Parts: sequence; C-alpha cells; structure tokens
Amino acid sequence: MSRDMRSYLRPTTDPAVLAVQFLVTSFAFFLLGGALALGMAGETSLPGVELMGAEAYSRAFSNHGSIMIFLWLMPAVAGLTHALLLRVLGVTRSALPRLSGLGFWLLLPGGLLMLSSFFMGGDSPGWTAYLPLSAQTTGVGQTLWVASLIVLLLSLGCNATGFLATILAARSEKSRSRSPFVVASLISSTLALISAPVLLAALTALLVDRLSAGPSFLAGSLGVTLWQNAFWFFGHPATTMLLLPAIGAVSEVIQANTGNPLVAKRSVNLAMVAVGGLGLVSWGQHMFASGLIPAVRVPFMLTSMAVAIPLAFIVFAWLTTLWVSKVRFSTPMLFSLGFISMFGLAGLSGLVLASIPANLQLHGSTFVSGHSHLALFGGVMSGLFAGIYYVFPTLTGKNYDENLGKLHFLAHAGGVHLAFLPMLLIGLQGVPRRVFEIRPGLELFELASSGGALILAGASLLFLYNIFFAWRAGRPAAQEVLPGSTL
Amino acid sequence: MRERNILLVTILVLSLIGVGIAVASLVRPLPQPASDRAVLVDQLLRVFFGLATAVFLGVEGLLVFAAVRGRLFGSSAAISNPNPALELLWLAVPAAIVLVLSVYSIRVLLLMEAPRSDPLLVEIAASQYRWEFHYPESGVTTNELHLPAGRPAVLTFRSSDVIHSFWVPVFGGKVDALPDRVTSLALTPLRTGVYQAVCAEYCGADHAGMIAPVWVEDPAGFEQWLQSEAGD
Repeated sequence: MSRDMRSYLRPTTDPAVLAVQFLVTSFAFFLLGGALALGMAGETSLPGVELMGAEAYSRAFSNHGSIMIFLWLMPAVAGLTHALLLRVLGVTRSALPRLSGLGFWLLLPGGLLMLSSFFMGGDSPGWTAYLPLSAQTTGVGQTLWVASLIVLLLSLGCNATGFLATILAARSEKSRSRSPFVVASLISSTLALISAPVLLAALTALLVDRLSAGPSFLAGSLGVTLWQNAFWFFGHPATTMLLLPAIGAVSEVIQANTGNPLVAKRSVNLAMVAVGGLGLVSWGQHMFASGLIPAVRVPFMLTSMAVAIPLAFIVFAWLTTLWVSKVRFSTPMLFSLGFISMFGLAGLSGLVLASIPANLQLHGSTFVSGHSHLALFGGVMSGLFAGIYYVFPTLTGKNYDENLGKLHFLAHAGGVHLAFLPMLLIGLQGVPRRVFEIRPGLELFELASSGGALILAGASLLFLYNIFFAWRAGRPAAQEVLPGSTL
Repeated sequence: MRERNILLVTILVLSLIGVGIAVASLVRPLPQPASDRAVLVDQLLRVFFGLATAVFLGVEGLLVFAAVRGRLFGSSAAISNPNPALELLWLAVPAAIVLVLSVYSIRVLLLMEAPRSDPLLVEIAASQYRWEFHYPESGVTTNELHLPAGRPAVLTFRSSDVIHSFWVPVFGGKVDALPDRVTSLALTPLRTGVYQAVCAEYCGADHAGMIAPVWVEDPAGFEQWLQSEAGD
C-alpha cells in the first residue's frame, strides 16, 4: 500500500487516496478552526484579558462555527466514508468515481474562500447568518463567506451522490449492504441531498442580494423568516448527517472488538432510518423564540424529543452486544465507549432544548453552545476517531502506537467534559452566547472551559503526531481485510 | 442466585430514582426565579435535570458493567437474537420518558401563555444597540424597564433594524424582536429587585453591550416612578 507522496496531490478516483486527501485536508482546516477556538477561549479565560476587539471576536466565532462544520466535520466524515464504505461493502470500485473526486476538488476552493473571508475585516453575523444582519453587514468578507458555502454545499452534494450510487450499486450484496455503516451512509447521503438544495437556493439569493443594488430576493419580511427556515432545514439535519456515520462507525468497531454481530442489527438499521427521518422534520426547534407560528411549535417539539427514542434504542443494542461479549479494549473501542457516554450527555441536554418552555429560557445562551459541542466533539468527533483508528491499519498498511492512542482517548474525553460541561452551567446562569465579557461570579467556570479547550487541542495534536508518525515509520500491519466486516 | 440478582437490580433502580429526586430538589436551574414563568420553567428544568441525572448514571453504570462483564465472568451470557421482547423494552422505556416530558412541557407552555387579565402593556422598541420602553397608558418612554410586582405584564416587541432577542434570565423566557412583526411575552413579576435585560441574538459588533436595567417594584413605588417620569 505504499504510495508515492505525489499521488496524494493529484486528482484521483481511487477511494483510498481520496480518503487520505479528505482526512488530511479536513484536519488541516480543523487546526485553523481550533486556533480560532483557542483565541476565543483565551479571550474568555480571565477577566481583563483582551486579545481581540468585538469585530474580530465576531469573525472568530463565525468562522470557527462554519470551519468546524463545513471544512472539518463534513469532509472528515466524507474521508472516513471513502475509507470504510468500499471495505465494509466488500467491493473495489466506487460507482461514480469522478464525481467523488470532484467533491474533493470543490472542497479546496470553498475552503480558501471561507478562510479569506476572515481576513477581510468587518463584522460577521455568525454561522447561522440570520437576515437582515447578514444582508446589511458591509464588507467583502461576508460576501466571500456566502460564496464559499455555496461551493462547499456543491462539494457535499458530489460526495453524497457518489456514496449513494456506490451503495445502491452494491445492494445485491444482501448481508454486507445492510451493515450498520452502510445503512448510516445511505441515510446520511439522502439527508444531504434532500436538505442541501434548500439552503443552496437561499444562499444564492443572499449572494445576489449582496452583489446587486437592485431588487432584492430576501428583502423585507420574506427574508427574515424564509432564511431561518431554509437555514435550519439544512442546519438541523446537518448534525444528523454527521452523527449517523459516527453511529455506523461505532457499530462496526463494536462488532470488530467483541467478535459478535450487533444484537438486533435489523432493528438498529430501522432506528437509524427513524433518526434520519425525525432529523429532517425537527428544524423548527431552533425557532421557538423567533415568532414561529404557535400551532407548529408543539409538532416540532414532539419530533425533536422523539428522536431520543431510536437513539436510546441503538444505545441499548450496543450495551447488550457488549454485555454478551468479551470486549477487547483497543483504541477505537475506547473511543466508541466514550462516544456512547459523551453522546449521552449531548442527547440529554438536547432533550432539554427540545422542550419549548425550557428552550425559551436557554435558547441563545451558552447552554446551546455546550450542547452542540458535546454533540459534535463528544459525539461526532469521538466516532470519527473510533473510525479512523479502526480503518487506519487496513488503509495505510501500518500500525499506530496503541499506548499513544489510549492516552489520546483519555485527554480527549477529559478535554470534552472540562471544556463543554461548564458552558451548560454558564448558560443556565443567564449568559448569552457570542459575548466575550465574563460575568462576575462565573470566572471559575470560564477558566475551566478555556482549560478544557487547551487540553482538547493537546489531545488532537497527540492524535496527529501518532497518525503521521505511524504512517511514515510505523510497524507494518498485516491486515488486508477490515476486521469484523464479515460479521 | 436469580433472586439475589433481582434484589440487586431493584436496589440499584431505586437508588437511581433517589438520586434523581435528590438532584431535582437540590439544583437551582434558574439563578433567582422572579416571575410566574420563571417558577414554572425552574420546576420543569428540575424535573429534566433529575431525570437526566438518573438516566445518565444508569446508562453509564450499564456501559461500564457491560464492557467489563465478559472479562470478569466469561462470555457466557447468550441471548436469543432477534429478541422481540427485549427490543420492545428498549422502545418502551425511552418512549415513556419522552411522553411524560412532552405532556409536562405542553402543560407548562399552556400555563405560561394563558391570557392574563388587566395586564400592564409595555411596547419595547429594539435597535442596534439599545432597548426603549414605552408605556402607552401613561405615554412614558424610557431606557429602563419598570414593572410592578404582582400585576401581569404583556411586553410587545418590534425591531427597527436586525433581529434582537429580549432576555431577562430571572423572568424565565425570551422572545425575538423582529423587524417585520410584533412579538410578545406575557409574565407576572413576583419578586422586587433590580435585574438585567440582555440581547440573546447576535445583532452586531456591540451586541454584548445591549443591556438594560429591569426594576420590579411594589405597586406604589411603580406608580410613583411612572408619575415622576410622566412629569418630566
């Protein structure tokens, strides 16, 4: 499997090369998004620390959010899918290899456009880009940001179409095409193809509005509500489409490290379909405080809360599979166990936010930031690490250092708890998100959260060191076939 | 052996319920509830956090035990797969919890938004980066919100530029001020004191500074303030 370094720099249709291209690029963007997070954590570490002004802070949180979602998690999950999907399916070729390659070559210009927006100065309205603020904000930075999102959603569309085609082409492989990771990718890609076009249309309208002085698509009352609906119609299932591949990867890791097939595998697949379906119809929960028509609030609350049922079902299936097995505590297994625990915290705090009266109190507070970071870092990132460690020996032909991997897990889990649990408590005390002033009395929580961010940064550097060192000079791995993929 | 296991599970479940109830009665989710809404939200959050603690500890315990069980006792615990009874239980337990929380949430929502008799009206105008409070009955317009304790108040909102969100955390709720529509928030202040209204929707560079003092006074003090403002 040793390849010329240059083969990773060229357009390719080889899924193994694409996997590496996506993962390396996305983690490079992760370092930038993480640097912005550390800047914000520094700003709110101690009272009196002044690293940046209000406008720079707004660009930091806006770019941090959009970099982490669109330039790190989405392409990293695409990379993991390129690495795992064909191996789990047991096929050698993607169905639409050129389209999959295009997905990567759209990521680069999209990413550079987004990064350039940070350096253009001016105020930035957050990753949700609510109107009318996002239309009024002057400066070319916000326009570049809108353009970058259009390119990145097209990249997502290429990836999703490619994965969907590969899965459908291999559907005659009855047992393998019903593996948890394959089903998760199938639903995740479907969600992307249903929801991304809606945001794409809204972004295009916003771009035209920003570029032209003439009649405006999103002017007046239409824009305010339409934008929120269009944004969250994509933004809410976006979490689901990241979460499902993580759930799929954790399921594969559990099978490989217990030597047993998942208990109730068929029902777990159905539960994932339910998670995807409910994720698609829960977007209104982000608009409870935004003058949403009262009659639709309760249905949105019920769909948002109900997603806990299939998720709990999947957790029970995992726990039972562990219960009946002798578990091997490899690095990917530790991350899978960590996923179950930390995603549990995200799910429980999410249940609070789904309840309308609780949401009206906590919406827009740092409780929401704490919840979303628990979901994305405790959840998706843990699943991503589980999947990367799991597939790494088969993908590169090299072994990583297990001890460093386990140390990475401890630092990661510690960092997630220390960084994001205090955010929940700070929000309960009545502190809105996206402010950089420390409320008197909460200094300790703010400092703990900033310390957690620092630990998380150290953990991620440890991971990158372990992976790159193993890739260059690791012991050769004997695995040709993904362990557990035939269960 | 079997009896002993049933006893053990019963004790564990009961102690989880105990921990949940203890958390629900000890936590202070809202800093200092100062309105009827806040009291309701405070109770709701206590129930959520109590339940969440019990569920989290239960799952965490199961997770750790399930992970090490095979290594401690050997992997002899075979179960039939598929197992419809077990799967039904996995559905029923979370469904029951979700159902209870949903019904409770809807009940609290209805109580919070029930129409109030003889409310004090305050029209609030939001703009970058200030709140302006107008009392239509007396024609007073100020930069601080004053409310009499015990009398229902209906606050209506309108923004003249971008979206803002009016949040007095001790009042237990918030609502956006939108440029295209009037929104409202109904509440009855219960406790006198000086609180703070903040903006909870990012509205531009000075968003963090968009704050206003909120006074809840006894009715006589409120009338006095209103008259002195009207006299100016």
